[in-house]
This record gives sequence, C-alpha cells and structure tokens, in this order.
Amino acid sequence: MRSIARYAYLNTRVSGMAARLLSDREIDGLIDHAADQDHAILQAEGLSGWTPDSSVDPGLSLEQRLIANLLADFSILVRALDGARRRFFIYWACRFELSNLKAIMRGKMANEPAAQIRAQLVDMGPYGRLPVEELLGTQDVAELLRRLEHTPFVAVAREARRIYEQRRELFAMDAAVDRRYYSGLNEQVQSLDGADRSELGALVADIIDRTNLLWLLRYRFSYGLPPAQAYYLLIPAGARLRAPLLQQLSRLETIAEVVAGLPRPFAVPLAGVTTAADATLVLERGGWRKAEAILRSRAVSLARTFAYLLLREKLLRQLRAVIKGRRLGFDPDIVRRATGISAAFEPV
Amino acid sequence: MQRIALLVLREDAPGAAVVLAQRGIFGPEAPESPELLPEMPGERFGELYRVARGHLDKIRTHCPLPGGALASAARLPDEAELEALGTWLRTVWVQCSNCQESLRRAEAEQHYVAQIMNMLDRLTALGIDLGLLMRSRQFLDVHIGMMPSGNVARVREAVGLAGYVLAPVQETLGEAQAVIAGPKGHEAEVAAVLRAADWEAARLPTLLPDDPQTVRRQLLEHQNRMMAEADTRCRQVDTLRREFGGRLAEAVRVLRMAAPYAALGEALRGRGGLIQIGGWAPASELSGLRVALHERLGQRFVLSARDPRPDEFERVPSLLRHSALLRPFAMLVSNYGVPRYGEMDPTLLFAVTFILMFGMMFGDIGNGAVIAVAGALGARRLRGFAPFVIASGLASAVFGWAYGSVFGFEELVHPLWIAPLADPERMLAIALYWGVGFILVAGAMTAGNRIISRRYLDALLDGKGIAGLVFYVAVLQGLRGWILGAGPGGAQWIVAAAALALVYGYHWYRYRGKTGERMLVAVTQVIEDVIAYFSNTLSFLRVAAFELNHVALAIAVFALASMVQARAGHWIAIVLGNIFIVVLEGAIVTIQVLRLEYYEGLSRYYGGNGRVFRPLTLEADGAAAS
Repeated sequence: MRSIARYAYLNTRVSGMAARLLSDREIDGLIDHAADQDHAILQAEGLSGWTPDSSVDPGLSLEQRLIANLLADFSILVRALDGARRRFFIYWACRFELSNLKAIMRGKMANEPAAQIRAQLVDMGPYGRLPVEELLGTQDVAELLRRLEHTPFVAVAREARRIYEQRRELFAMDAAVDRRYYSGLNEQVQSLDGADRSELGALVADIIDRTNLLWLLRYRFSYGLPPAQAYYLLIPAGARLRAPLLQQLSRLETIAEVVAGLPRPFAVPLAGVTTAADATLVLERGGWRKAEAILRSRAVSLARTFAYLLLREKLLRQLRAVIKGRRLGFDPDIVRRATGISAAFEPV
Repeated sequence: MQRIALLVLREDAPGAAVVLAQRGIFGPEAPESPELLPEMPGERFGELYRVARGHLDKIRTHCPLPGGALASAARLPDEAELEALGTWLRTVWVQCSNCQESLRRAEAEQHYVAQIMNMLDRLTALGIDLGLLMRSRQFLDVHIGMMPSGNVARVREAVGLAGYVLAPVQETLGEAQAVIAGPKGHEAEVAAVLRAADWEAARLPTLLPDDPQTVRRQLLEHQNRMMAEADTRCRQVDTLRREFGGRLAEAVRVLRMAAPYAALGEALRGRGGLIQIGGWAPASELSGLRVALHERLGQRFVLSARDPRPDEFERVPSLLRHSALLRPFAMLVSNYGVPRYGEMDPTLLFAVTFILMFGMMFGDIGNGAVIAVAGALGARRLRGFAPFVIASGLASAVFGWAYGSVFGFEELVHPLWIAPLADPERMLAIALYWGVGFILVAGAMTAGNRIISRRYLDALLDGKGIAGLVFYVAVLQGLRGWILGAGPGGAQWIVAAAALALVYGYHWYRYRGKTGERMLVAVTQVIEDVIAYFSNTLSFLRVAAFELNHVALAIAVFALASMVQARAGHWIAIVLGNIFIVVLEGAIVTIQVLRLEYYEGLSRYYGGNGRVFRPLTLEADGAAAS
C-alpha cells in the first residue's frame, strides 16, 4: 500500500513509456523489411530521416542519439525519486559516463585529436560529473590523469595511472572500470531499505550473476586467462554464484565443465553451449526475460522502473544492431542473433 | 533596445569587435537572414583563440601572470599570429606540466617510502628477517608490498587458487602492507592478479643488508633524489618564467585584444570582404557607439538599428540597471525570473512591499536596530546585500515605534499607532486590507504587462486580468456590505456574476477540444481563479499573525526570565531570548515575506521569462564575455 502511494506517478509513467517498447516480433519484422517499417519505428525513437549515410542530427552518431533518447526517459523517471532511490538510478546512468571516460582515456592514450574524441561522447546533461572539455584540453595522458584525480573518478584515475605507467593493455583498464561499476551498483542497492532493497536487490544480483558468469567464460576460454586472474576480475557480489562457487568454476578447464558445475537455473539453458559468445546471447536474453516479467507484473514497485530502463537499453542495442547490420549488408540471421531474438539455446 | 546590424570590411571586423567590447553596450546575436551571409569568418579565429587561451589559463594556474591594464598600443593578432602564439604557449605549458608531474611523482614516492619504512619497522618488531624473506628460493615465490585495503580479501581468495597465501603486515590510511608467498610455478598468474589489484611491490635491494638503518638511508636517498629532480624541473619553469615573463605578459595583452572578436561567435557572418555583426544595444547608447566606431574605423562602417518587431519580443534581452540600494532586491526578483522585454520591472514594487511587510511582521525598535547595525557592520561580508539587511532592520525599528515595542518591552515607549495585542482583530483586519491592496496592484500590473505585450484579450478577460479584478472587487464589496449589516446587496453580485461569465467565456474560447472537455476545463479554470483570489487574500493574514507571534515570543522570554531569581541571570535570559528572537524570527519572517512576494505577488503579475542583456565586455583578466 505504501509503495502504491509512493510510486503511483512513477508507475504510471513507466506504463506509458513501456507501451513504446518494441516486441521481438516487431524487431524481427524490422530486420526482414526495410524502409517503410523503419520509418515509423525510427520516428518513435526520434530518428526519422536517419539513413545509413546520414544522421538526423549531424553532430550526433546513431548510438549517441539512441543513448540521448534513453537518458531523456531516464530524466523523466528520476525526477520522481529522491534520496537513496534517486542515487541508485543516477549511479546506474553513470555507466554511460564511464563509457565517456573510457573513450577519453583511450583517445588520449592513442593521441587522437580532441574533436575526434568529443565526437564519440554522450551528452550526460545534468547527470554528467566529468569536466569533459577540461579533460579534452589536456596535453597528454599524464596531465589528463592529474586532472582526473580532482574529479569523483579519482579511483579510476589511480587505476588508469598504474595501467598506463606499467604499459599494460587497455583491456585491464576496461575490466577494472566495469568491475568497480558493478560493485558500486551492488553497494547502492544495499543502501536502500525495505521492499525496494529486496526487489531491486534481486534484480541487480541477477544481473551481476549473469555478468560474472559471462566474464568468467570470456576470461577463461576466450582470453585464456589463468584461474586466479580470471577470478580476481569478477565482481565481488551476486546471489546464486557466490565466491566459493566462482573459485571452483574458475579452476575448470572447459565450458562444458563450467556449465555442469552451475546451479540448475543456469545449467539447463546453457546446456550444449560451446562458446562464450553463445553463452553471452543466452545469458543476456535470460536477463531481459526477467526484466520483461517484472515490467509486465502489475506490482507497483521501484524494480519495475529499473526493469523498464534495462529493456529500454536493450531496445536501443537491438535498433543499433538492426540498422548497422543493414548498413553493413549482414545476413538477416546474423542480425537476428546479434539482437538476441534468435538464439540456439533457450534463455535462463 | 534596438536590433543592430553593423557592416564592416573583413579586415576591420576585429577592431570593431574591440570597440563594441570597450563600450560594453552590445549584446551579440546571430544576424538576420544568415543565408545571405553564408560565411562564418570568426570560426577559425575563435578556435585558435580558445586553444591559446586554454593554454594560458593553465599556465596561470601554475604560475601567476600579470593582468594589467589594456595597453592602447596592443595590436590585434591575425589568425597566423594567434596560431603561433597558441603553439608557443603550448610549449610553455608542457614545461609547467612536466614540473607538476615531477612534483606528483615525488609526492607519490614520499608516500611509498613512508609506507615501506612503516612495514620495515613492523617486520623488525616481529623479529622477521627481511633479508631471509627476500632471498630468492628454489621452490618459494615471495612478494612483499602494499595495495588498497579493500582489495585484500579478494586477492587472498584469488592467489589461493594458485596455492599462495597472503599475510597482512599492517594497515594504514586505507593501504594494506602484506606478504604473499606460494610454491613456484604460478608466478605469472599471481603477478597478473597483483597487477590488477593495484599491488605496489616493495622495491628493496635483492641482497638486503643486515642493518635496517642502511636500508632506511638508501630509501631516504632515493626519496631525496626524486625531490631534487622535481625541484630542478620547477626551477627550469621559474627560469622560463623569468626569461619569457615579458612575452607571457604580451600574450595576455594580445589575447585580451583578440577576445572580443573570438567571443562574437555566430553573431559574425560574412560574404567576401564584407562582415556583418548582429546583436542588440540600448537605444540611448547608439550615438556614443557611432562616435566610437567612427574614431576607430573612420567612414568604413554602416550601423543600422531598428525597434524590435512584436514577433521578436520574446528574444529581446532586457537591460537591467539598478542602483546599489535596489540591487539585492533585484537579485531576489531575478531568482524568480528576468523581466521579458517590455514587461514592467517589478524590483521597486518588490523592494517597497518587502520592506513594509518585514517591518509589519517584525516590528521592534531594539531588534530592528540590531539588524540594521549588524547589516552596516557586516557590509563587507554581506557584499551587495547590506542595503537589504539595513532596510529590513530600519523598517522593523520604525514599525516597532508604531507598535511601542523595544526588545519585547511594551511599556517603555508609547505606541505611535497600536499595540498589537491590544487589538488583535484590528491587526488582522489591517493585514487583510493590505492583502487586498497588494492583490489589486498585482492584478493591475498583470493587465498592464499583457497590454504592453499586446495580449489584449488576456488582459481584459482572463481570471488574472481586468475581468478577474472586477469580480474580486465586486465580491469583496458584497461581503463587506453583508458583514457590516447593510444587507446582501444586489448590484455587486450581478457585476461579479457577469465578470465570472466573461472569464468562463474566455477559458472556453482559449481551450480547443471536444465540447464536454472544453466545458470541464473552463469550469475548472474558473474555480481555480476564484479560489486563488480568496486563498491569496487570506494568505496575507500572516502579516498580522507574525507580529502577534513576535509579541507572544517576547512574553515567553520575559516569563522565562522572571523565573530566574538572580538579577544578572534575569538579564542574561532576556538578552539570550532577544538573540533567539532576532535570529529565528528574523529568518522566519524573511522567508514568509519572500513567500508572499513570490507566490501572491510575482506569480500573479510577473512573467519573468525574459533573458538578461549580456553585453560584450572587456574583462580585466583578458576574457571577453557576452
């Protein structure tokens, strides 16, 4: 009753926005058909007029435009929240700012011109905490890191400095930033109370479990990292896949062994998976199904808002895959797999 | 305000920009018909300026440079000169940046040495032979170092997968020192974990001398070397500053001259050799501007100006000029919004009504004098807000005299007008009349503002316009007659009903939709207008309520003081009580008056959706602002 009163407005906005989400069938239709259907869907996304060779707003790439749309929805929803709940959602949106940060650091390390780096960045609007122009105006990586140490991203700056000074691969930096982000997301959800904490906590823990499993498979069997390093790079949180199990799984030598060692809810849908890429599709699709179930439920909860944002992000990724797939002339089946609407295996 | 178009030759444009900035009366805006002037001649210049300026600003953070007055002989740079200047400033900044980096490294090294020494102390105290521990062994791989404390648990689990154990030595300031050891064969795996965990290995000599003092000395020597290196770098920068001090000062002057042209941005358009600078300027300043341009450019310019068209009213910037006395009130008004072009500036009305209401709600000679004196004494700290505090204090003192109240004592001064508690009903009635007057003035200003912006229908028929005011006055007349026993009346109610019908008709006309929807919206709007008038009026009762509250608070203070037997204690209680009253009640009354001004005043008659006129100026630090 309390959450009905508290989240009535938010719930109504989410329901209204959720009506704009596209079903898998509609995405499927979009892959097979083209311009006529594109038009209506892209218009809904504020992208009417976009063609592979042009952009609605010449200053923005397709991806930036899609993320800007997502952030516009996010702004509307987050306005209805306060305190720890608001902080949780703002922290979630920080993922886009971290992408900006990675782009700036990569660009500076590769000596790219400021304009070229700027073109890759997403406008975070009032939620941005990075002094982007100042960072872009730095002469070299050392100055960039010094400047970054005076922002809320001081921990990232220190990590990046060590990576830069030790001449290590940028993968290490990305892995560290992502791991820190998910750990922070888990801390944010723990700072909530009551039903918000349990409902959102379950969703976040599920996301972390899936991400950990996906990273574990990728680190061990795609990148060939040794067990200790692969385990260290995982997120120190989760619900079903806790530390002892992850340690055990890290030691295993094949994907089949890992799948066999998983709890049933993960093991069943992943049965027969032989590559980390296939596992990624299955795990992501399973996560989306969970979010869809929460969004469809009539319960008035904060988790519903979070589920909507996750699905909104999913839609943006699908649209990007469809449009880019068509532009690059990919086979529709490849695009279907990339969008997650067709997987060889049933999702979790 | 006039819409300006200044036509000049391309080579004269930077000079014209300097004149406009020096005059400080020109607000840039993109010229009309940009398609006729497709070129943006200032684009590259602006970019070059921003690069050079960026470097200069960073150099300034590292070493202060002279600002100085704008030298009349300073020359306007062209694009090539600006580019060369930017390149040179970049090399200077690189030197400064290297110095900063050396200092940072030296600091990091200092921190590292302190941590290592701590660890050495701890290990020595535990009786551990560090030399033995560090010695290379056939089967054992040992790591000694430090990492963030938060990573310890995870690293322990991870290296455990490779058969290693982690033993923490000690933890200080979020950093943990530890020893990690395990069987050889997994060195690369463990090294990868440690790298990911921000592990900093202790860089100790392989053959550690037995004497810990020697180790300390070596570490300190290393630290001193780093400090000396940083010092050398910074001295190089100092030398550079001495050597190029004159050139840097010249760079400051050159960039000051270039700033106005760079700041024009889209206001600068051109075609071939002709440039147009678009913008706004106050009509009264145009003749002076013409003279200044003539002095600089001779006959080589055409300055045209025209009145803003009605369709431009929303874009016309408002020039706000207030005396130092009104400035704090203007700031409070601009917190709400900036007057639209042509809209009446409410600052004076706001200031007068604010001061009067503050005095009425917090009338006390003593407390008011304290506030006024505090405002005068703290003028420097309060910056521009001193007149606001002093005026509020004086108003409080004047009304205190009218109420006969000094620090809560009601018997020391004979009230010039009325002692609030003597006749509370009269106080409430006065507050109500004040509210009615306030709302009528606000309503008249609303209608006036709408007439100025040619919204005649809104001015006449809206609930906040003349029809609404007629309804309000008629209903008040009817109620007054009824309360005073003159009977229910008739004409007033007919006038009120007719006015209400007009307001209803207006809302019906304005809303486009289905008939039922239209009816519902119009009825809702009318109800809202009616409720707003009467709730706003009643809201002014707080003007009396807070003065009564002030007297009540004073009585409470005296009651508390009377409980204290000692004479000194009695007076201390009164003084403390008055401090409490000045601080707490002063703050509450200020908030309440602001509330009345914003919600019952400005929200009625003030659009506040204009934009401030921001002229191009030449600032002291060299930046041109617009």
